[in-house]
Amino acid sequence: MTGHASPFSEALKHAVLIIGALIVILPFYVMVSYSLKAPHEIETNTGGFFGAQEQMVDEYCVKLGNAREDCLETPAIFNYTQAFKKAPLLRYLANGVIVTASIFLIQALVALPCAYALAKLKFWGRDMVFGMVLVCLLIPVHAIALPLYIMLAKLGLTNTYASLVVPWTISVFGIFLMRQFFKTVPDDLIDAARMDGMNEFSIVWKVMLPTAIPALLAFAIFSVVAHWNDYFWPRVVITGDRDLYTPPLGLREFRGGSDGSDWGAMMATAMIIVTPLIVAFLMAQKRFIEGITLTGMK
Amino acid sequence: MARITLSGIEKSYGTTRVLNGLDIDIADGEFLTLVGPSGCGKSTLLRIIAGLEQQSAGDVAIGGRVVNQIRPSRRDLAMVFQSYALYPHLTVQQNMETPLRLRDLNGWERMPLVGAAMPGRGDKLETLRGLVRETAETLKIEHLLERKPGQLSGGQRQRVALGRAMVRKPVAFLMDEPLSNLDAALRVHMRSELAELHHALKTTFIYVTHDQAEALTMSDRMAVMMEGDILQLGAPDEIYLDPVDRRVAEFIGSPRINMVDGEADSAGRVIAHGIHLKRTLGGAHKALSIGVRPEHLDVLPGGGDAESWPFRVSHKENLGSDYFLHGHVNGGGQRVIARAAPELAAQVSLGQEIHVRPRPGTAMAFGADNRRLRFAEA
Repeated sequence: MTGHASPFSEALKHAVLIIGALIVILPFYVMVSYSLKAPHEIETNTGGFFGAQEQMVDEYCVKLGNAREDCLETPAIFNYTQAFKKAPLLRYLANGVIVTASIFLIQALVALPCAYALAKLKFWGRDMVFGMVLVCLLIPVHAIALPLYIMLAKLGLTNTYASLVVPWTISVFGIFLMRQFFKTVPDDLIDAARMDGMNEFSIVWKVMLPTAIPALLAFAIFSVVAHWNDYFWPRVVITGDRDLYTPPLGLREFRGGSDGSDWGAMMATAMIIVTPLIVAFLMAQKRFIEGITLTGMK
Repeated sequence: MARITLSGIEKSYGTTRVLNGLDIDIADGEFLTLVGPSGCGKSTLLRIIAGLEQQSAGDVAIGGRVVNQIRPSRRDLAMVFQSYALYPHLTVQQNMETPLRLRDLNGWERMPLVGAAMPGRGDKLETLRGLVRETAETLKIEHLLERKPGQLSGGQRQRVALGRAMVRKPVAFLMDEPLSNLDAALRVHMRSELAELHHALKTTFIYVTHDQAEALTMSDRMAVMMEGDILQLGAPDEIYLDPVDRRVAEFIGSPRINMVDGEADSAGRVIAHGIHLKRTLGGAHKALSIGVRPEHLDVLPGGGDAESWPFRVSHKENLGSDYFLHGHVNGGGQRVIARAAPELAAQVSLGQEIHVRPRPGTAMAFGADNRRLRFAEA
């Protein structure tokens, strides 16, 4: 490789990347666009990206016996207000925060000491334990969903926050990721902490954790995104109690009812659900790059 | 302040033995250096003294108390690491406070919120901040207290690491190659500074290094280690001038001591590369190594005599104050280095055949088993 690729191959690379990006962005484009448009524009596929934003009549409002003039709405505003009115979306968002935050906190609480032990302590059978951790990485969630559900049901835990959180508290991926990171922390730093009088738990929380913030942040993104967006597991264990719905379950509320599917409001809800993730990711991305440098060690 | 006694220290990893039963008695306030090539076990020995590693056999006693089962922090020792091992997320002030907080505050007082409410905590914090300030002044790092390790230069980090060790006023300092990450000029400077610090603190220093110059310049006594054994333990002068083992002679001194092959006849008369030495050994030896330090070879640019070796110069090394002439004696395979004053070296050109003569009484004889053989007193 000389570093000078031909213009043709450069163009080809870019074309492939652009097509890939378009494929990824298209559903988002549709989501944002639909969340702004009136129902008839969505059905007839007119109005461009933003829609005409003409005043439209809310038929449901008319059915309730109001005068047609009182039921005029601007489509974009209507969709977003509908998202909050039609379902307790704030409650769902709060549930989402409670569940994902608890999952991540407990995962970190378990994974950090485990990873420290696997990376830095010498004990009999350590490599075997680590091998078992790796094997666990290979087991898909769906394979154990049924036995897990039965277990939770027998304990009477379905339809509780616990059922949403407990199965995810031990993250094999988290243990693996943190262990790989801890491997790169110099042993001298740990020995210095021992000489200073820290016990092994203090070392985990006061020395390893602060140096591992970038890695922990990476793990946080994986964990939060996965569980915030998870539709499968909440759908399995939350069978009746709507107060426990997580945001993706909330989307179901807009699925076709008697008056047909309310696409505008549904896409507005989807927007509201993904926005916190996107904001969080953009913020974390900056931290990622800054990172906490380990230059104090060398 | 305490004397540290090591008796019969052994260490094995699986079937590999890295320390073979070492005994050292380190006096209170002594500066002892463990020196040897990498892999000789010197760092392992230091870590055993610190308690970071458990010995396979033997006892470590500090101030007369056997501390084999005592945790590192309770041994009241402080360690300075080669990589400095500062906490990267804490400021210099916090780095230096950490060992004091862990020692002087109890568990409750160290808690994030509860701690602030504990009576007496404020006073304790004030005293330990005072100690940190005092140490920072000694080391001239007061202006760095608010910085993080990442914002410091190598030399500054080195001082902070020293400071973190000093604040506790430990009974002994353990130092694991603390200068090897510094550039050459700073290393030489820190050598004298560490020695001064040792004089000022009057605390025991145990210093590990692979650099024989550090060992020679700073120590009260030095222990030369190879392959898990202490070959010789003594004052730097004694080690340099009177090595008991060929490996010690070769390791200590820069440039290396010259070794030429020789043998001794039944009367003990030694012939080394064609010249007879004045002094005699006790008996016959087939394979001898005769060691002569570069500064003990007199350079004779004019002509030789019966007591000098013909020497072909292959390289001249200029150190400013001295020249080192590299070459071969008698066309032999062994490289020999001789020190010459600049005026003398100016008369010598590359490829020229001159003579070098070992100064009488300076040659050392080593047997085939590396042990030193003593000449009979004349």
